[in-house]
Amino acid sequence: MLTIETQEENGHTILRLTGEVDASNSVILDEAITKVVADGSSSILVDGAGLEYISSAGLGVFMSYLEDFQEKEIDLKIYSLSERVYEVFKILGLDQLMHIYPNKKTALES
Amino acid sequence: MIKLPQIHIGKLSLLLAILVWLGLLFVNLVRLVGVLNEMDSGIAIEFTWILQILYFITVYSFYKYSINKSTQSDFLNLIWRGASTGIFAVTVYLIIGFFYTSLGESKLAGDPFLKTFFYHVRFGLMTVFLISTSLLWQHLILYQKTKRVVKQWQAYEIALLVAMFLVFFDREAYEYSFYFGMVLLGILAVILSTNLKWIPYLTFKEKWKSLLFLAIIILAISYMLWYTVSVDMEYDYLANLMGNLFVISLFWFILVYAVLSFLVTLFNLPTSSVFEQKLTEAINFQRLSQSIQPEENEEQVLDILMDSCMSAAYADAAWLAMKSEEFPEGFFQERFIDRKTREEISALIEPQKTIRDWESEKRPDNLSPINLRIAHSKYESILLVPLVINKSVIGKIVLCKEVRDGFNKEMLNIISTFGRQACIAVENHRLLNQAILNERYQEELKIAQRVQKSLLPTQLDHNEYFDICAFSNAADEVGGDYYDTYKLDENRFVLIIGDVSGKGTSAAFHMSQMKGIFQSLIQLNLSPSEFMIKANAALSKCLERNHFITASIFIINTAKQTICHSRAGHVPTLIHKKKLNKSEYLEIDGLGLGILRNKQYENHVVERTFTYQPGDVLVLFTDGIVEAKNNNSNQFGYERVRTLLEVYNELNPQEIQTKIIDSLHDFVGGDRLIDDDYSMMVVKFTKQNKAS
Amino acid sequence: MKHQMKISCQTAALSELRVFLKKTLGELRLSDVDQLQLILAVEEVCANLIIHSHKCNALDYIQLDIKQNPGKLIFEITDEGKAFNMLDYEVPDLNKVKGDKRKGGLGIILVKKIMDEIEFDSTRGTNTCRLIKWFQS
Repeated sequence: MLTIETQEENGHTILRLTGEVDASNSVILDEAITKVVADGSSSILVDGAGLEYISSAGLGVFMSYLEDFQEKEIDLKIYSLSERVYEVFKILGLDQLMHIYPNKKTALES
Repeated sequence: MIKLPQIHIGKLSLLLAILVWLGLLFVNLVRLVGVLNEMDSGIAIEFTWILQILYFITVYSFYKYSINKSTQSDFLNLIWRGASTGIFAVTVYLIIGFFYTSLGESKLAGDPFLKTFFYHVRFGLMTVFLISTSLLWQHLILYQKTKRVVKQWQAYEIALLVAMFLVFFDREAYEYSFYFGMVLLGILAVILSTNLKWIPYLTFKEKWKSLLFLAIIILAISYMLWYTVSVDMEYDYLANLMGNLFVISLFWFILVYAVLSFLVTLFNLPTSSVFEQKLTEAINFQRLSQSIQPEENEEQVLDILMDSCMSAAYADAAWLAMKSEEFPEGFFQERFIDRKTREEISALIEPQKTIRDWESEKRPDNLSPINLRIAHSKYESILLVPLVINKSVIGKIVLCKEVRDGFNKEMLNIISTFGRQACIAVENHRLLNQAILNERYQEELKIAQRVQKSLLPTQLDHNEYFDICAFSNAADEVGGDYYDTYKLDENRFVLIIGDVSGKGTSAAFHMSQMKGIFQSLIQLNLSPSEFMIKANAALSKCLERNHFITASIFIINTAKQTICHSRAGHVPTLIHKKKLNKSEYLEIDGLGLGILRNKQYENHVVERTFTYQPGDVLVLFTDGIVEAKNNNSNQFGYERVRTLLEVYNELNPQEIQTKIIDSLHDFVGGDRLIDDDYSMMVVKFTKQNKAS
Repeated sequence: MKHQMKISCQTAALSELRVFLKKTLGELRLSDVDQLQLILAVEEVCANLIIHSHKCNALDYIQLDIKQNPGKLIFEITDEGKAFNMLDYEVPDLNKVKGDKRKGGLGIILVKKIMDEIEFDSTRGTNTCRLIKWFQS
């Protein structure tokens, strides 16, 4: 199960993920991000505190936007990932490619 | 150029002889005219003598030449020549006599000129007969000559020459010197006449013929002698041509030799069959020892042996029984005997104790022919002749005779000699054939070795991400192990190792088929399992029944760091995993190629893909390594190889290979040979491919 | 220890698979990180098979066997049909995947990184993917 809450806060769009992302539901994540971009947000913060699990399907969603966001100068930041989920990002070296922060505060400060 | 004068000597001397004879006739006729007209013809008697001697010499040289020219002619021909000359001379004598008889008391019959002419004709013919026959005698006397006989003959010739000239000294007055010479020449002639060595060499039939010819010669010479003494001596010719000591001596010599030869031949007649027998034996013996040429077969030798034994023993029937690998039932060859009789006799002799002892003799070298009586309706005595080659009995000849105790000691001796000689010939024949065969075989092996060496790759395909080495050792001159590599592209390499069932040349042949299949199929970019299925289909068509090939194939992908592997009944491949520091066998299922020759095979192919890490080692080998045995019949085994790899995995492939092979040799024992082909291929992955 | 599970070929079954894995692996004393990674690797393989080999045909099944051997944990994922050899799959360069909507390939990288050994057997129409994790105890 995956639920995504979208919330506007000081010009940032916060996506709060709760549950597990896998091949069956990564589409939901994809659609959510697409919608946020379409709504004109230029700073997306992903709150991963409630994210219990993410498979390659979910990671792939993030990956697919990387180039697009660089061109459009849209910021995508992820924060508050649990250690075990963060490790998954690290396996693929996404920690280098993406902007991942320990918590909301460090994410906003950078 | 050298021959030319020789040919002329014959013709020249013939011509001369005729001329001299005509000269002699002319001289004597002229002298006769002188005497009849009581006037001196002016020709002395010496003229006659000189011409007479000249005539002797020319006739002699003509015959000497013509007989020498036909030395090939045998004894019988020689005697026939003498006899025919005799017949001719006597015929002429008789015609002259008949002519005078027909003339009756006419004036012509008393004509001295005609008489003198015929006298000369008779003299000429007689001389020809005497000289030619004496030269024929010379040939017979000098058969198997010794130096002494040659000396005697030369002395006799010189004496004859002297005798010719005696007439000059005693002037036809028969004095002591004449009688002395006659006695001397007579004794010499008798001594020479004892040389009759040619007679035994005549066959029985030839002896009869020679007796006839000798009789003709004796009759001819007797007639001439009688005519000379009783007719010619009565009439007082002007020159006594017949009274020459030379002529008289030759008369004596020819007569003595002819009579002696006749008598000796006559008395030799009864023994001639024995002599003939011995001669046949000797010839057979020679045939046996010389007959075998390498390209001839043993049967021919044994044929000759059978013939020889039968004729030596006067056997009525015989058979040959051979033991050989080709004919486990025994090989028989029968002569004048049918199968039924042979089996009857075999049944009679086999139960006898002496035969059982004889056949079970431990040392066949000691075997000699054995002679027995049997109670058979037709044959009463039997002779068994062993055929021994290289200390083993290869067969026997059984000779049968219808009479009791038909084989005597002499026959046994000669037959056992024949047997030995034939066996030696057969043995030599076999050895020679073997040597030829061996040489041919060696030559073929060399070719096979060269071909096979060229089948194994000299360069093993690889790239910078792995090292590889391989080697193969054949138990025989050629082996059935196979390994190969193939580069599919920059990152993909195929390794194969295989083992053909069986050993030696046939295995090597199948190995070359495997090589062809590998090199062609692998280019189709097949996966290992697809390769195995296609290779199985191909080999099913060309591999002999009951033959199969085991193989392991690996496709190494250095980009993805994966190995894709399939196994067709081959010994499992050993892999060392660096991360785990453990070595283990890749034991996936798979059936040997050529065992199942239909679609069913596909169900037995397994393909495994797995990843590897730098530092991992693959050891591919053939069963010759794990199955090598030491003195205690213990196998080298999988566990030893595995442990060795765990210990030595840090080394490079060449070193790992050397370590394993060295400990294999240590295990088997230094000088013991491993009696199977064994091969090994070691792969070590070196560095990480960044791409993966 | 030996466990077995049959998975229907639909993506919805993946969460069910994770529950099973979590329960099974929970018996072992694994860290949270390790446990999640193992679940992830197995799920990735199964997801690949469900999506690519079986086109999410719910009537097809794949089977998971979990075995524990001394020093290693073995996950055997067996299915029937056309073999999808993950190891043969061309692994993409991460930098190229960035803008690519085709999100494949990442899973395979994950599996390879997480697992110590991956074996892929195929025979008689049965394919087995064997994931092996070693434990230096």
